Amino acid sequence: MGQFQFEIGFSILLLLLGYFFGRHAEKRHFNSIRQREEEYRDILSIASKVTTAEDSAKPGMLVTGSVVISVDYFKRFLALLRTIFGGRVTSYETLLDRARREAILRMKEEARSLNADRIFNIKLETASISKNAAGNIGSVEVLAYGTAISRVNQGGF
Amino acid sequence: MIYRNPKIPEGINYSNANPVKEFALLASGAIAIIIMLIYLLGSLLDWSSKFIPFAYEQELAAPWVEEFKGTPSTQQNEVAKYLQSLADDISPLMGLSDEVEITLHYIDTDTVNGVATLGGNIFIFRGLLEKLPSENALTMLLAHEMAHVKLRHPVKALSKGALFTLLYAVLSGQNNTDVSGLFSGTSQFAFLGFSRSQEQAADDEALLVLQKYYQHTQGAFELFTVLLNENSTIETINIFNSHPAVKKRIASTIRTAKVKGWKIKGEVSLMPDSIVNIIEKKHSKSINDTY
Repeated sequence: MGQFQFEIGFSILLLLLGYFFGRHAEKRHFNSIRQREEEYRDILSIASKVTTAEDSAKPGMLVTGSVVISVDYFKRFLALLRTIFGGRVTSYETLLDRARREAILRMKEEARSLNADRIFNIKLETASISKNAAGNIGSVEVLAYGTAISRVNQGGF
Repeated sequence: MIYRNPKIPEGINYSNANPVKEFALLASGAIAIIIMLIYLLGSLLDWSSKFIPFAYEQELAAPWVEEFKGTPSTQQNEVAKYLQSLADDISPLMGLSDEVEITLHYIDTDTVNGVATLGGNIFIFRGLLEKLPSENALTMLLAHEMAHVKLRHPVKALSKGALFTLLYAVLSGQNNTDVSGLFSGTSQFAFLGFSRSQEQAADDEALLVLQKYYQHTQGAFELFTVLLNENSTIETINIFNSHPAVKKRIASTIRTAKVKGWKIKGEVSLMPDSIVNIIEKKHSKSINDTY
């Protein structure tokens, strides 16, 4: 069963590669997210539709931020094991947390380029690319969108 | 209304725990389940193989046996006939069930081997036969192989092989594994491996037969001595690799003989000259051919 041993060896190699590269990428991404979240702290993202007296009465602008992140082999394997035993799929939780925060950050980036200060009515959408089709890379897309509005006397649009 | 975006503490939506720990826990759990499954299914097969009719085994093996045997020469047939008569002599001592039928084949190659396979077919190779010093050793060899057949080891090995192929196909999710062809192919019957405990069981049976037939067990030591020399000189793939280490076999034989009060030494009978002549002639011929 030389083929069997080859496949086992190859899977272990993929697991190791997935673990080391995936973990490195995740760490870097989280650091960058935390840093940029501080940068964009002044732009408020609000789930409500209700504006206040401070907000400009000018029409709002649609702002979007979308991100696609791929699952590494290690995370996939861990999630696969979870399908046997059940429980929190922690390996995907970090992935989706990163994706959501990155999408919001990109949306804020767009808002800043429009000189907006607040984003109302924020919505988040998650889509899995390629679904569960065999042989495909499992990737996830998160789209964040909302209505950007500037404050009264702040210039803006 | 006043809106604020306070800083949200980290680690609410995800866990900071080391994934390697989780992986180790889950993977070892999964592996344990797989091993348990294999063990349970294996035991089930071991137990249920006695319900497989011997005739079915014979039918399964027939095409492969024909292919492997080729067309034996008159001399080869003579050796096979001799082996068969010896096997027929000892088979009443073995307590074989009525449906079991032992067929001896003689293969004229240098392989130092004896093989028991499906359908009661036993192959003895010239390479091993020419090294045996006496008929006693040959009787031990035949009794050992016949014990495999009696204990249904070949069919157990085959069904286990099929189980592993099937499990492998299921677990790896492969669709190109020829599961339906598991029993139709012929090559996989060639050399079924037996486990150590199966070899031990066959040794025990054979030793009893040897004692009953000759009233001493010297043949076993003669056979083991040949195997011992063979193991230390040639590194070929043969059945003896799966056999318990030869030295252990010798020790366990001495122990058994002692416990039962059997004689370890005794008078040995030689193989008939006509047979020895055929084997040795072949041997010298093959040497001439090579050099």
